[in-house]
Amino acid sequence: MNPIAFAVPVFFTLILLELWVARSRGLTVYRLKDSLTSINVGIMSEFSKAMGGVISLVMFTLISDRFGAFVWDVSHPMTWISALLLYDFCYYWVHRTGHEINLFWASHVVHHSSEEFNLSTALRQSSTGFLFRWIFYIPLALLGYPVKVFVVVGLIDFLYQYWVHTQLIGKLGWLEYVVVTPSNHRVHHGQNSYCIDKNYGGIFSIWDRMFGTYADEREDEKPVYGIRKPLQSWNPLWANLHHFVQIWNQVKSTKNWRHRLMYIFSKPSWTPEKEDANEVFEANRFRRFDTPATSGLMVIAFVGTMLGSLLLMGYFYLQSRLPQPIRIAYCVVMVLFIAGIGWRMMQARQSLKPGAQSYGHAE
Amino acid sequence: MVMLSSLALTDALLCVVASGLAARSSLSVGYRMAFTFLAIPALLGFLKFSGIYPLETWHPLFTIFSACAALPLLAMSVLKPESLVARRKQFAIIFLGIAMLLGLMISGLGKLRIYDQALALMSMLVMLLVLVKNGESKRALGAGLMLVGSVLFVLKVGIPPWFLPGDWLHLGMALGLLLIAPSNLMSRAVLAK
Repeated sequence: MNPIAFAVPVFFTLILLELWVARSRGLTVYRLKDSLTSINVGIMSEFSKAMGGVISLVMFTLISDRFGAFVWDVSHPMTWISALLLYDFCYYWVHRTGHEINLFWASHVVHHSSEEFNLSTALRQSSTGFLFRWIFYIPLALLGYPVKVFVVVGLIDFLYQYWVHTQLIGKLGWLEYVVVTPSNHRVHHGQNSYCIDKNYGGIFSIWDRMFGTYADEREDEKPVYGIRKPLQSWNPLWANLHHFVQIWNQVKSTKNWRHRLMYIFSKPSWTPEKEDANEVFEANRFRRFDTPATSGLMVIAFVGTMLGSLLLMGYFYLQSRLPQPIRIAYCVVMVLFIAGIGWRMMQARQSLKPGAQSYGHAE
Repeated sequence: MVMLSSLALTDALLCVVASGLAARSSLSVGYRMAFTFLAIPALLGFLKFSGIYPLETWHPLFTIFSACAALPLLAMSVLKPESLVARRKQFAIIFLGIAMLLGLMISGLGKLRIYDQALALMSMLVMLLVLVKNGESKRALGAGLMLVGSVLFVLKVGIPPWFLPGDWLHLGMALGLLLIAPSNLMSRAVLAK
């Protein structure tokens, strides 16, 4: 069974624990609509991976079998330690290109689209990343690591990153120098000027220190979470596609081939007029996205999301017993179901009278 | 004692030349990356043909990379020295990344070797034509030597056991690269743009 199936109950338990601790400290770190969207994005990501994630394993196996240079003893701890280090190094570059090349940012932006920062944000994963992420792990295949080692260290790297998405844990002393911590990962999710393109590490922060992308969290300027061009939607499908649509429109808007290529491969902040069109961030002007919703709608959204989570677990349980066409149909229906919840949450906003919309509070 | 074959010796020569040029800071990033990715298969070839540390699967793979990614990048740097791919690290890496991925899929996994061979020959031909047209005779001679070496390799011309077809390729490339690399004066003019 997919190991994520075992992780899902742990994820939810830790979310409840974080919510309880935050409440007991008088802090508000969760908003229901935002968290439901994060969970829905996560469910959608798992279903899209279930359909296409096999690409990664097939390519890794093909390359490792054909070009792998060394034979690794899986019973030796050094095999696992070296693979984890190398995987994390490759992850640093996956992640860095995910921020610094517009096409890859289109895929990764969904993870940063939440304007909150809590354990549910960690679940807000891309549904399109599986298409190209495997390319960055080719070095492991060329070194001949078995696919089993690749899968396990990949899972360790992925699961480690869950706990760093919290505001409840402060700085962790010397650990800040070596590993990714909640404090330095908060910086990564900030949209303040000092946070942009910083702290890409997965488990180890040493890569950021090596390549000059490390930044410490500032006491005088706490990170404001989210992205410079806000998503302004609760729809997980749109969260995954909106930046691709933007690139498509930008490419269509010009006949200059150089500009077209730059829109795809340059930094997300690139414009024909300016190399970096990012402006200095002013925290006091930032307003969180919000929409009005009746309690009935929120109950429907909550129940739908929980049902989606259960159906995801059910899918992991049944996966190996289902014929391929049924599996695909299951995944497609679930993606549409999850998108439907987000779509319904956005409909409430449009059904309001003009002028009655609420956009939340200023930071 | 290690017996060095002619292939090991000519690969070592190519490796020294290509890495020496890659280390030249006056050259633009496109040239330097292209030279680096030409030096790597040469080093692997030296290790393989000398028997010191044969990585049997890597030498052919990195040869594919040099043919379908490094040589086109070199051609791009010769053809359009002012382009972003020739001048900026980020774009040179993207160019190499895409070209290497295509090479891996088509020539490596798909076993369609004509793809990387044709790309390599086309790159050399383009460099030759452009340099002849620009009247840069010394550099054109370099491109010509690379092309001749490659053609002799493809035609499997050799004087066994002393001189094998692969030696033409290595020697042609080594001499060709030495001649084709722009002089410090030229590189500074381009970098200053």
